[in-house]
Amino acid sequence: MTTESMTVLLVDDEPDFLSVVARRLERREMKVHSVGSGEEALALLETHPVDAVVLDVKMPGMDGIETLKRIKAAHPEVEVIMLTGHADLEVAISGMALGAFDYLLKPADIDELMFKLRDASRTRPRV
Amino acid sequence: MTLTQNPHDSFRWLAARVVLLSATPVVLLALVVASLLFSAYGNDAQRPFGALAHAAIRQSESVPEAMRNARSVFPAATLIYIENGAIVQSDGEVIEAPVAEEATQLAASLGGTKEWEIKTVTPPFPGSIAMAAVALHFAAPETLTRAVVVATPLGHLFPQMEFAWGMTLIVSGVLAMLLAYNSLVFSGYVQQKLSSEELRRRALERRMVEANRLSSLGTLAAGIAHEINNPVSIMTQEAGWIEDLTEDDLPREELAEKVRASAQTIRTQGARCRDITHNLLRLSRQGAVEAAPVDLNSIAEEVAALSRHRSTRQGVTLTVRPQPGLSMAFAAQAHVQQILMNLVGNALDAMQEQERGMLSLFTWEEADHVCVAVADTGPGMSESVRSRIFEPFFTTKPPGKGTGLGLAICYGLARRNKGSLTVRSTEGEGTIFVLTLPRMETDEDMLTEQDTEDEINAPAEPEQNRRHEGDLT
Repeated sequence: MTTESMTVLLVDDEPDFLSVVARRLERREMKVHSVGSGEEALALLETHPVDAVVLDVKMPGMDGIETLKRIKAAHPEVEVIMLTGHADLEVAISGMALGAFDYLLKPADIDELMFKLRDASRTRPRV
Repeated sequence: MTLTQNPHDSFRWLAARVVLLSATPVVLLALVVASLLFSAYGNDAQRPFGALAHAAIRQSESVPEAMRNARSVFPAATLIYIENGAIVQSDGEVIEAPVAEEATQLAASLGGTKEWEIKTVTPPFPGSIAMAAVALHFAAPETLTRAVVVATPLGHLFPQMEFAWGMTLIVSGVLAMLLAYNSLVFSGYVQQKLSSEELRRRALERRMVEANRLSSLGTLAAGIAHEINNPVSIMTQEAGWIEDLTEDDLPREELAEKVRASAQTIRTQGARCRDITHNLLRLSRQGAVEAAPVDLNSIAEEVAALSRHRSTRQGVTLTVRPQPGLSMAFAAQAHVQQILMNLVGNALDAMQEQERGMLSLFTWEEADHVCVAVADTGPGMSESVRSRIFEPFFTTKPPGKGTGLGLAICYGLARRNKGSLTVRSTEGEGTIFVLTLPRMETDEDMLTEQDTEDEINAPAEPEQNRRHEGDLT
């Protein structure tokens, strides 16, 4: 199964959120990197290949959409799942147009996140 | 938009002036018509006078005879003998310059078949002088014009014809009274119309202010609801994590340790939600709309606290620099909150495109005013924009984003609280809005007025705060 080998990058500006989601995903046998901003995410992607990115839409500094654009430009093979509140639904949808794999509304269910991550790694073009 | 002025105080007087002004041409026209009628009547009445003079003088053989004949018919008149346009002889009362001139002109108009001519000097007044000129034909009529002019006051000629001074006085008095009465009635009517209009306008303004308050609260609430989403999703995840743990077979010690850590996070995040909702509740509570002592420092802090989430998200540094020991302002708290919320919201909107924006709120005191300023490092605005920003429906935001009413309402609210809202802006550097409100007068102020004046004169704390404005402009 692909899950065992899956590596996920979490991008969110809330350390508490990163910590708990990382814990829960790791418990489900995923490898997790977590970073606090879009800039860090881009830097990490240069050195560590990942299967999927979970990206918060609202972040100070470089926001989710901008980060998505840059990730898709530099690493088109990486699938991105957007995390968003209700108010930013339009942003999430415009993210879909920019090549995001899917979006999830906050607060998201961990199982739902798992399904989407698995879908993402399955549809991902294998090299 | 002016929310507070009452422009109709002097309205009665204005309306009265309108009526009086419009009546003036009518009065002038009436005077002209009356004078034309009077002079026409005067001319007609003189016709027999001219015919009589002609009849008396026509048969004369010499100038002295003509003069004698004229004198016998008109014993009280002034007789003037004119030869070739010049007065040769005059007989009777002293001839004044205009009369002499008119007489020579009248004599000059004779000739050909015209044997006599009549005229009234300065019609239509009661003192007018009637003149009749008769040509003398007894010598060389083709080379010389000779004439005798008989001049006599119109009143002497026709004793019945008198100017009715008394009647004129009565009629004009009645007219003036009618005019004054009409203008009062008219102005009263206009004032009544306008005051009902004013009431309707006030009601509309009240609704507009309320709508603005709700919309700025709504924007805020949406932002805050979104803000609450983050801690809620952390708490949900932590709860899920605890569930995960119960499924695993962990030693009791380790389990307890992990659950305790999760509980701690949930508590922290819960407290965060509580702070947010408390702030929102404090602001949404309908504050006093009657003027009362308000502390600008605490309102500035409150508004800043509510906007902190948004500004952090936007990467804007939000600072509040309250002046310690600031006097109370005398204004409606709800209005001050609404104004500051609008100003802060606008400042954040202006810095939307910026990487590192700075938003600062600061307070200070000057003379009998307390001021609070909202300064941003946004793109600023051009002079043409600056001059129009307080106009209702003027907006620089894209359609659907702004109503263009926010600042107009703020301006109105500031005026309503006997304060003012001013703006200074430099393109490319930033904008400062300054809300000035009257200072609360306390008994203590009365007692220590001297001290206060000294403080104002001394360059104390306010200077420091004012320097921040200087940075931008």
